[in-house]
Amino acid sequence: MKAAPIGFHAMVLHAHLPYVRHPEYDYFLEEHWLYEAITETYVPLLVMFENLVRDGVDFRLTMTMTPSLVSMLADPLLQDRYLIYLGRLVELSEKEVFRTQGQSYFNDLARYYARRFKETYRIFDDQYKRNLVTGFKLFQDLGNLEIVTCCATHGFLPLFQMYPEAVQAQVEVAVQSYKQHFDRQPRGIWLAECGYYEGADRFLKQAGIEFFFTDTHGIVNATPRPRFGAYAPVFCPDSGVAVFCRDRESSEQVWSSEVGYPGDHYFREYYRDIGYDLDFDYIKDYVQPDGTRKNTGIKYFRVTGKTAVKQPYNLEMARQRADMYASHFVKSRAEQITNLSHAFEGHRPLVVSPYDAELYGHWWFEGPEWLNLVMRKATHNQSVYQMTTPYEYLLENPTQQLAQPSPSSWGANGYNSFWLNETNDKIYRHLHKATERMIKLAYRFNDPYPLQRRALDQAARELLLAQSSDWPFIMKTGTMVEYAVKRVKTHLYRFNQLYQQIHRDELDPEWLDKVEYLDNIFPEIDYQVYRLK
Amino acid sequence: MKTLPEEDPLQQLNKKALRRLARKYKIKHFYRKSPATLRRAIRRAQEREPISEQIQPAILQTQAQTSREQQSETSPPKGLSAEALVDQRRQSEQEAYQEHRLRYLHAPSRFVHKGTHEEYILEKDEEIELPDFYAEDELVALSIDPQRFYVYWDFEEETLFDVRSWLAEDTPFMLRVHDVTNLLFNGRNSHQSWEVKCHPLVREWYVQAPVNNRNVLVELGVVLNDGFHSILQSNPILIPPVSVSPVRQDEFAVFVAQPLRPEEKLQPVSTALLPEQQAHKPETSAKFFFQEYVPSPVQFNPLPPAKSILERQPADQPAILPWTLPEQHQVPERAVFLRLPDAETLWEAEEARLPQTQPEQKAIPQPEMHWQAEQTETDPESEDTLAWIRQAGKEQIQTWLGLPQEIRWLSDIPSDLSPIFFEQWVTDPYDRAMMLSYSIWPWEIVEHIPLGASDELIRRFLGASLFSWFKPGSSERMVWWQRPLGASERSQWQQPLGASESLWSGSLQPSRSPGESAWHLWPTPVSGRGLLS
Repeated sequence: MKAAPIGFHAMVLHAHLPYVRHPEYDYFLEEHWLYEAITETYVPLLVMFENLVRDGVDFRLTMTMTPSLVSMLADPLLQDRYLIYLGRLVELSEKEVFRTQGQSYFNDLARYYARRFKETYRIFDDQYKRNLVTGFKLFQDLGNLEIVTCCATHGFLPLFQMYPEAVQAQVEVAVQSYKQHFDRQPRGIWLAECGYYEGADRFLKQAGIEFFFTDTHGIVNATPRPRFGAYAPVFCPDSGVAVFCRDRESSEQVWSSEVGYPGDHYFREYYRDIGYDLDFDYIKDYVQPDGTRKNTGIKYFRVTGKTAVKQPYNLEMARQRADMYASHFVKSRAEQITNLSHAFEGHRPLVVSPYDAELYGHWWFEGPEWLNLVMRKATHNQSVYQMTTPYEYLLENPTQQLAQPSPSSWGANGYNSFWLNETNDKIYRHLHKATERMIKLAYRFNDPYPLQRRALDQAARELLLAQSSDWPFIMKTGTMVEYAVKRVKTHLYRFNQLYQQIHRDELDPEWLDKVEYLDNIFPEIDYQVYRLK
Repeated sequence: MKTLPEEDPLQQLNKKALRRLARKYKIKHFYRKSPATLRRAIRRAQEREPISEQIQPAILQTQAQTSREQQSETSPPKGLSAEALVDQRRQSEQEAYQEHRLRYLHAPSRFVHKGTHEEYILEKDEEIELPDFYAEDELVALSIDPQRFYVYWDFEEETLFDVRSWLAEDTPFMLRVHDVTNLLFNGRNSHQSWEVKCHPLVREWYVQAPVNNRNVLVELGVVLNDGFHSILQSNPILIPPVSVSPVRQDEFAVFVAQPLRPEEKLQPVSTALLPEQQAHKPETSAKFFFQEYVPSPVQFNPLPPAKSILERQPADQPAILPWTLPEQHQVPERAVFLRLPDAETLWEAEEARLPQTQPEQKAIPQPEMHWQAEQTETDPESEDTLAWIRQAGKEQIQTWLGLPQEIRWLSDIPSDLSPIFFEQWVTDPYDRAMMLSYSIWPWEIVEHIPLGASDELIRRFLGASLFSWFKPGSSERMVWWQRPLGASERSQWQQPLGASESLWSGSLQPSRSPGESAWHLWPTPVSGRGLLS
């Protein structure tokens, strides 16, 4: 009989990709964000879940799957295209096995990649019938995984707070989409970028959501001062929704570029890819059709250090290191929770560690390996704490403090400055104007005729897509800026066209057909979400 | 030949159908034209090019459709009840909707564009530039962080005219920020206000916020002879707090789970298998992704609370000697402390072995080492003086190293090139102690930790030790200490002559300019999210 744990640990993986789907192009670079994430993150995670369940490890993990990501994973066009992409990758990896004959380091690795990609193909095509959402749903139904939703298109709510209708729409559409895909009401939500403002919780309550997450200072700076700091949830006084916040220490151990685990010199180097390294004649069929080089996903070198001369990657060595860091992480949590528990005199602390899901596997290749071992070691090698999900924690520890969380986000500086600064401030004037127009439309049309209803729904889709926080994020980071600007402009243009057409009652059905075909996110959307309930 | 109106198919088409037809005939500005004009234009077009085979059926189909609609609207088929009719209607609506949905989800691309990515970015067909400004009077404030916020504004034509005329007279414009916390603002009653000079035609401004955790509101105004005149007023925003709340009030609430649909809990895969199946589990794909899990015997159990500082023993006694641990935490046998040579006996034995009659050799001139005791004017032969010098040297070294008092010196300050040994006990909050030994040479300082010390142990003493020991990947600081005097930064790191590729560990490579390290391309640590780019 295991002794009762003295504390809890909840790991949260936030899986999000912006909605990128270009049926009008045969090949589109930005769609590869999704394909790479499937190969390197989502499929390994599913394999990990399956294996943990098979070995009888009763693990607990929380994942956000944003509605835009779920829509893409469930989209038949992207599924087909992913299979084509993966087929080419398998082909390339087989060529690599041939090319690296005689180079023992590289050949072993090439064989590993080839086997792995083929297996990924089988899992995607046969096991999950091309729809990974069903896979994640399975583990949610088993009770091991808690999937929470996110703002519909990852809209950053604090910058739309003067339009409550827009906030309501982001939340309601997300919940609706979640219900369709997971056949259940979502219990929690991940506010995009953890962006919270006072009053956002009202719309969460209205949508039937029980909890959400903020960054550490969201709770630490709450009013009144929380008794247990960042290590217990609080309830919003207005709505009663529970708030969990990120723990700094465990985040730092994985995220930090200085002392974080992924910086270990034996781990795989992300920026050395054969797409850039090999002869153009050899690789040209696997990079962009116009000849621009890109990442293929086959990488042979390790981080090595702060040097340009990289050493070959050794899988066994990397796995050993991942094992070591998993032990270290579990140990650190045990120590942390012991200390907290002594300080709290009986209140059982909860440590919440949220990370980007794409960190595991895509950026940090050994991430799933590490996570797998953390789950197992937390089950077998300690009796200090128990891994849990926020909802289960609330069921076990229902008495918590009332406090008003402070406005915050998990971006640089902890507030809105990453999504509103000199690089991207120009878009908000237009986004706000469009939001205002959409709200006007929603209140004006009670009973539109079918074509008009389609146009109104499409206008809502275009607005949601334009509001995505990814576009200002990309503008700030400075890579692929043209694409982000183009996307915002295109969606706003389509929205304004629709607005004018609806306004003048001069709808153009053919053009509407085309736009519906291009931006087909949320097929079931109802424009009336832009009316305050 | 003119056709009679009742025979003319165009006469029977409604406006919508006419427009559709006009589009097929490529008639310009068809959306502006009245039905009569459209009919004329279509007739002209028909005369120019005789009706094609595709359009003829289109007209017929439209006619049939309209006639069907009229029929269904005017005379509902008899023999059906009203409810059945409603059902039928609903069903057909559903079907139509499903068909529409399938059509735009699964249809092959009708807009296939064989362009490259570059062309997409440059493509202009669906991108009109958004207007720079909107002709409406509005001022919008957006909170950024506790230090600053952003405002943008637009003017109506008339206001703009006024503003221009004021500008022509060089009248100053101001943004007046009001603190309106907990009050209804009427233009004058703010708690305090401050002003920032601005230019009205820039239409956006970043404003520094001298307060935080307050609600503020901005007015844009012009300063005329009789004072400030407000032109625009913004929405109120909350400047987020920068620190913990001064309010302490422990009010707790109990979480009540919302009733959810009872979910079917699936059987976990592992228990669903039969016992004989358990024995030979089917092959999983885990081996393609993860290493096999080997359980380790390490177990972490909760520790008792640390002693409070008041209960500690006074500092002049060594905190805990000898080191005793509770049984369950006994160190395994291999953890033997490094036994340093007993310095005094070592030197004495050395001296004893030297031939006594050896002639006095000329003393080799020693370089002035910065750690040597200063020459004094007292008799160098005297025992007291030597003791005093040694003591002074020890104290100085202690000061330099910033070490506590309890140091056991294992050797005296050397008069020639020999190492100094010393050791110290350090303790942690649990009153467990570890002995660290140092040997100080003119060219390096070596820190000895007990053999078999685990990561955990080392981490405990992290603060007490001279060096930071735990650093994933390498311990660069340690290496820096060990660098020979005068050696260049690079020399240390080059591969030793004759060392094979596998023997040479690249993990100790130096930090050079940040630009050369790929690791610095990692997304900023604080932002907490990566971007697939």
